[in-house]
Amino acid sequence: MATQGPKWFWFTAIPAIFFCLLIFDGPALAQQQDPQDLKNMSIEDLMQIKVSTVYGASKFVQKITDAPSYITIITSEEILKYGYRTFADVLQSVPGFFVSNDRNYSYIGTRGFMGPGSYNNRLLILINGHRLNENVYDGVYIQTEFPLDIDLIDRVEVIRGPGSALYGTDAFFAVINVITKRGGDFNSVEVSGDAGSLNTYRGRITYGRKPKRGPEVLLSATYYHSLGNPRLFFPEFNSPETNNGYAVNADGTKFDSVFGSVEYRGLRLEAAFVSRDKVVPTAPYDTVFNNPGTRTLDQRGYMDLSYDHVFDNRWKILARLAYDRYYYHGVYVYDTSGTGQPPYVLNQDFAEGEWWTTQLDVSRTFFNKHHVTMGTEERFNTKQNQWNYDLLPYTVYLNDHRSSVVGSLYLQDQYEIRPDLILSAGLRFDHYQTFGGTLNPRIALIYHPWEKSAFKLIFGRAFRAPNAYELYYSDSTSTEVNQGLKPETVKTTELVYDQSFLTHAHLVVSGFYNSSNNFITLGVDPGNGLSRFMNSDNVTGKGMEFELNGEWAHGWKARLADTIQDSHDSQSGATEFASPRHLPKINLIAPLPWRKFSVGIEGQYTSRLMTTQGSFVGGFMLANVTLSTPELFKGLSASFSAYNLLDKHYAYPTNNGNFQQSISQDLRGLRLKLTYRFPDSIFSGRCCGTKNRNSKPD
Amino acid sequence: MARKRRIRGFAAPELFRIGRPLGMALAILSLVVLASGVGRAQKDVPFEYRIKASFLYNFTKFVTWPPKTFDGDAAPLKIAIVGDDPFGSALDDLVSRTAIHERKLVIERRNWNQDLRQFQVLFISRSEQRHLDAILSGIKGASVLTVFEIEQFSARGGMIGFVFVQDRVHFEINQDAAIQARLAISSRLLTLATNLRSQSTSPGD
Repeated sequence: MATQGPKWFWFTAIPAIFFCLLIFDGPALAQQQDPQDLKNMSIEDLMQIKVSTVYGASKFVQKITDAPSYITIITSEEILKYGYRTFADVLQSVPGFFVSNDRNYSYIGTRGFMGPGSYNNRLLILINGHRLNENVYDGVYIQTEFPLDIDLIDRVEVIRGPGSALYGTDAFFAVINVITKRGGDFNSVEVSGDAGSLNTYRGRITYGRKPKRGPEVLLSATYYHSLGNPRLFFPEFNSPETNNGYAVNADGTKFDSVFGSVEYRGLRLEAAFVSRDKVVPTAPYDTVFNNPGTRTLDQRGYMDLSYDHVFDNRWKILARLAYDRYYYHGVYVYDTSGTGQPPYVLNQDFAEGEWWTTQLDVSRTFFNKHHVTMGTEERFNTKQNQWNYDLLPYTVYLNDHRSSVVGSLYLQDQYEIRPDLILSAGLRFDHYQTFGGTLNPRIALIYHPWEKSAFKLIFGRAFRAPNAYELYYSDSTSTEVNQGLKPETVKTTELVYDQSFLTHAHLVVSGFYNSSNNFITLGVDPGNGLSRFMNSDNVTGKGMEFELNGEWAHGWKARLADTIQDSHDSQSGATEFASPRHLPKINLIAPLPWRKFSVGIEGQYTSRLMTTQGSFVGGFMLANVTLSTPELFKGLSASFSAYNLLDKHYAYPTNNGNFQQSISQDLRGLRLKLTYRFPDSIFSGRCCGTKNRNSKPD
Repeated sequence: MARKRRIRGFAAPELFRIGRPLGMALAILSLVVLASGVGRAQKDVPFEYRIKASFLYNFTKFVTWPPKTFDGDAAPLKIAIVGDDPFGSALDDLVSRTAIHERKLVIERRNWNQDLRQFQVLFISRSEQRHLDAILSGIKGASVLTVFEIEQFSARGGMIGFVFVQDRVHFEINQDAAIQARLAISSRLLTLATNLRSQSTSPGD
């Protein structure tokens, strides 16, 4: 069955749905195209019609079809209607993306590459343009450890391909820009609570306000607690000494997060913080099995002050000053005596990152044809510290304190050669104290042979600088440091075909070819037999991505996507580990005729995944269904979801210090979520405000 | 760390028996329908500008001009597109056989250096960015509603500027500029504006 999934999908499901889309949708949407119909719409309705735009691709708002990338946008409406719980759920739904999990962290795979031990450092994730990747592992944490509550996301821009020409390190396979909601999106107090399987509870309270005059404010706090799976079975540990393979009550998660923003006349202050505590049930790094003492704490926070203004009516300036912090503390329980009995040794593993960022972007349009953006960004890494020691007996293995500075300059020109032809050219120079400078270009030619079609030909180079962990982490007995590491690079060639038809149907086909060099992997120093990080692998990846979107009248929405990809080592020909060849996905939102209810259905097939030992797990089909309404009663929205509805057993390969080749995942889970927004009259009398308010101001 | 192993190449697609003929037939049919759709689409005005045309038409409903702006009761409400015309036929189609405030709507095309004081509405195209100051000083004192589609237009003395907000076409209003031109913009429109530049404490009717 497993291998039939994609073929069934390609040869029956896609044509069938495509056909339905065209036949049933045609007449309704053709009417919408009629100018007389647009004419009869009210201004309020006109303001709801979408023209897809993106900011992150070029650092200015542009239509998606003009952007130098293949882009997918996920909106807050989809987050509600598909019942996404975390940012990882959102990314899992994106065509060409897949997210794995080792019961501690989640990992993003795309473009034929998945690095479970790399903490997503070959992608750049931004919140409102603020870099989220930290400065020790360059990692970004996307599940319960993500700083933003899922309900605060307004939209997610997924910009595939190399982004280093604009964003520098880590923008290797994609840049993902998360745009948050603002005070005016609430204009009230909102409380939300949900309860789900595995004793999972979450609560949120949010205050948002956009007064006619004065600053727009958003403040939000979230608390989350989950006992997790109370009895996890790992066949690799199936022996009497290790509780017959059962890890009992060792899968709990807890997090608190806060987010706030204040903005006034282009000046914006934003702050976020999350602290997540996870019990690790998998006994990583040869720790004691079935001991809930092995756990990790991850904290990520930032404060970002930015000023966005147009001077002299021509010069658009974005200035940013930000302070960031990342803190990790892992406790690993070891049975050093070998007796299987306490007292155990508690190994303490720490990372602490702290950095300041300054950024200045200046953009201006010249001769109506050149949209030029120049910028500079400096990152002052005041702390890139790692230390590791045992408690009782106290033994220090590592105590490494670092600081560094990264400076960069970039220039981009979006040149409208003719109304139907755009050239986007960008170049960025980054300077690191360790390896020196690196220059990364991106050139894209965007051609609209006619209004609804776009061809994009993209060439780009991206890099990832070796991180502090790769450069300096060593326990000085089995590992050694390699300070001569060079950055990894990828050269990408991509052709994107983008076709709209009818009013809201949309087809994207993209073919990409990636040639990555100097991948940093753990190897062995032939001189002394110690393991260390080396620039060893060259990986070639190629693939095709396909996406078909349709929107019907009354809120029907469907998306079909498939990715066929293949990555292998350029020298040995070995296939890339843990990455699927096929990723077909189907999404459907169907409105129901009662109280604005709708059903959101997702089917996500992942073809088989190779483990580090060369065996395979999967493939598997995951289905999620959510029944939701934005307004059950006045102010109350509700959703009920079933995840992994088919109750499939599935697992993800791992290489993050696990004895297991793969880590099995949760079976069917349910969740009920209720959100209540208080009437905006709670702001006594003089409130004004929202864009959609019908009543007149006092 | 043995990360990589060779595996077999692409398995040849040997299955998909039953679904295939049906799927292929539907695919071909779909392509035919799609092709006809694409053919139609070629001469279309960009969707964005059909929406903006509709906005422009709607704006005229919510603005009151001083009576002496018009040459008599039968005079039409005249809209000029200044510079490159992004609307194609969309705006003309929209306003044909339509009256606003009991006046016929007329669309004309003009260059920046022509006389624009006779119009009630100017849509100033993106191409006229350099001539903006000249255009605005040319109509100074006249009751002309100026609509533009670039950010911060209001700051430069225009009255209504189109902006994109969360994938949607929205607009900013500079009420001060409208008041100077003796134009009254209805509070309904003012409430809907994404940004409102206004000296008065509350939007008046």
